[in-house]
Amino acid sequence: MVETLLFYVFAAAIVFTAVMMVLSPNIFHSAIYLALCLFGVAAIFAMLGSFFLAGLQVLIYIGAVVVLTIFVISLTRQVSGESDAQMGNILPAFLTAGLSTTLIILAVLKTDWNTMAGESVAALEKTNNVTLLGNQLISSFVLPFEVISVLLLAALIGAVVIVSKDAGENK
Amino acid sequence: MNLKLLSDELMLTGIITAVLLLDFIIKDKKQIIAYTFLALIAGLTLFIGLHRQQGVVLNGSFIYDGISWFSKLIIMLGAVLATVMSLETIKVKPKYTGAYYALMGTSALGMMFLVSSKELVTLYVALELATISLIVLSAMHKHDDLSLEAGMKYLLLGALSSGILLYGLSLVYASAKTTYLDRIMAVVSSGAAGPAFILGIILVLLGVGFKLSMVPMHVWTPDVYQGAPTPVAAYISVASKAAGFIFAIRLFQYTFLKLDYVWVPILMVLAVLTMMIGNLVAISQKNLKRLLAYSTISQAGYILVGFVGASVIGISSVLFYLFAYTLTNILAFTVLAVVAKNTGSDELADYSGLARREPFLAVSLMLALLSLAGIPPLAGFVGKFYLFYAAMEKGYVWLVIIAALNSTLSLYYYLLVLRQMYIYDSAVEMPKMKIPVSLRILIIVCIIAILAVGIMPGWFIDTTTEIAQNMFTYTK
Repeated sequence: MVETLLFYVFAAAIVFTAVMMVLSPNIFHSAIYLALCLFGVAAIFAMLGSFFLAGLQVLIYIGAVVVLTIFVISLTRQVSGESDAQMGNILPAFLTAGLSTTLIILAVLKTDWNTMAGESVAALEKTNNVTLLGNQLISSFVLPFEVISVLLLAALIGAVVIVSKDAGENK
Repeated sequence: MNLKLLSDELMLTGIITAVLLLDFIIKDKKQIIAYTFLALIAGLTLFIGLHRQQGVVLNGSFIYDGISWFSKLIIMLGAVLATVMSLETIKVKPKYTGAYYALMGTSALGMMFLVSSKELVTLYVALELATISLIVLSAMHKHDDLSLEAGMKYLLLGALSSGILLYGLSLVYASAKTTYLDRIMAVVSSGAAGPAFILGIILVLLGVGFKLSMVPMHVWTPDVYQGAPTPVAAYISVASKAAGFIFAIRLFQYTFLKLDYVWVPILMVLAVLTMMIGNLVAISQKNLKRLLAYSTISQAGYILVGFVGASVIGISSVLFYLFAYTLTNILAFTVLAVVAKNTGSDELADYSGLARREPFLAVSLMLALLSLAGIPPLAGFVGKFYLFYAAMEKGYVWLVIIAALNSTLSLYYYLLVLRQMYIYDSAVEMPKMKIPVSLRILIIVCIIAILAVGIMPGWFIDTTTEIAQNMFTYTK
């Protein structure tokens, strides 16, 4: 009962902060709302028993992504009272978002999740999440795990190439 | 775990590492890196061609079957031809030469994993590796605003489509509770696919559509092709599209085959829209690179016509067309790259009188465009004929009629280019163009290949048919 109540509280918080992130006139506030929204997602992960995922969510998304975003905002522009919002397409945006959300919710509600084949979550709960994840990453999923390392290398090279300053460019 | 099956990918990883190390060692004469890279990937292409394997590793998450063999060949062929094109035409600072070719390698690596994996996580990660490398390659001409714009648009729209794809994949995973395509297929066959699963499939379709430049996910194509360095645009248009289609084949013609009542109607409508929008917008283009971009959009539409066709013939025709299309598009883009190197422009108006000034280039571009339009005896004709035949087999006569009408429509703007080259003359006298030897060889090789595939398609069609059958029989 408490769990259900908590779930709805967090879900409502996620929706509210997500909407506020889009609507907020100040891009700096948007970043803060994004952090709160991601925190709500982490809370839901924790409630589902995935403490490791919740921790990762906080560390990576809030600790790295949002903080980096805030850095970028404060380095590239002055935080001012001016509005950054672009409200020109607000109606089509709301319509698209509303329609797709309704569609997704309808599809998920209409699906009978119990008849689906496969392992149930209950069976997984008995084992240690982190151990399981670690084992999977270097056994069944070793291939994507290794491909990601090449992906990071490519992204790193790309970032260096694009942002590096050429000699003679800084005149 | 049989590592031998991964030998192609491992070797390519080795090549990428070698390029990066060479970049570190060689201080000047950076062209050496380019030639080394070219020699190594040409060798690898030859190795893949001669050394076909069969087998699965990691519980069926990675497969080496006919289809991955053939598509790896197309991807590597695209990479080799694009590298030859790059040697003389890219305007990248020498200190980024190593990075350019390394990224070319990583994108090919991503596509190679993409065509071989049968597991959702691997597929997605491989797709991202290919896309991120291509984004950087598009923005490689940093001094050019259009190139940066191309990179930016590719990045933003790529991220959006990745999001859609990922959401779709997560719904599929949530319903099937497995990420392995074979097991998802078992769930589909048991008839337990609920509405969430169907919605997932539709989202996946849209996400994959980005790679195929299928309407409505096509908006990035013209801007990226126009802004990206010409060899990169050529590479995106052939290799990335081929990898995308193989991804689509593995998902739709294999995993979701039993649900074809869901995706076939959607794809048919999208195929018609893709052809129409591609062709109609192409007519008004004044820039040849944009024109070719819209032409590739319409080509994606034709391929989709074959894609929804009868399963084995459909896959076979898609594979065959991708091969013919790779040769043709590379030829067209090479001519563009040569002209742009000499005149610094891709505008249609600057092609006036090309036939008189540079008959060799004009004839080459003519052959490429006629092949794209589907005129016999060029490769494009057989390819298109085969695609339409695949759709006819399944009884989609109306779709074939629309496709044939569109094909006629496309002839109009290809002929516009020919008119510009052959009938109009330039007002100012231009100096003689310099055609680098490597590009001259590339053009001649492509022309010979297009004619060979167009005149004697039998062997290629036998190969693709065998490969398509192989996908259904070889599952283990």
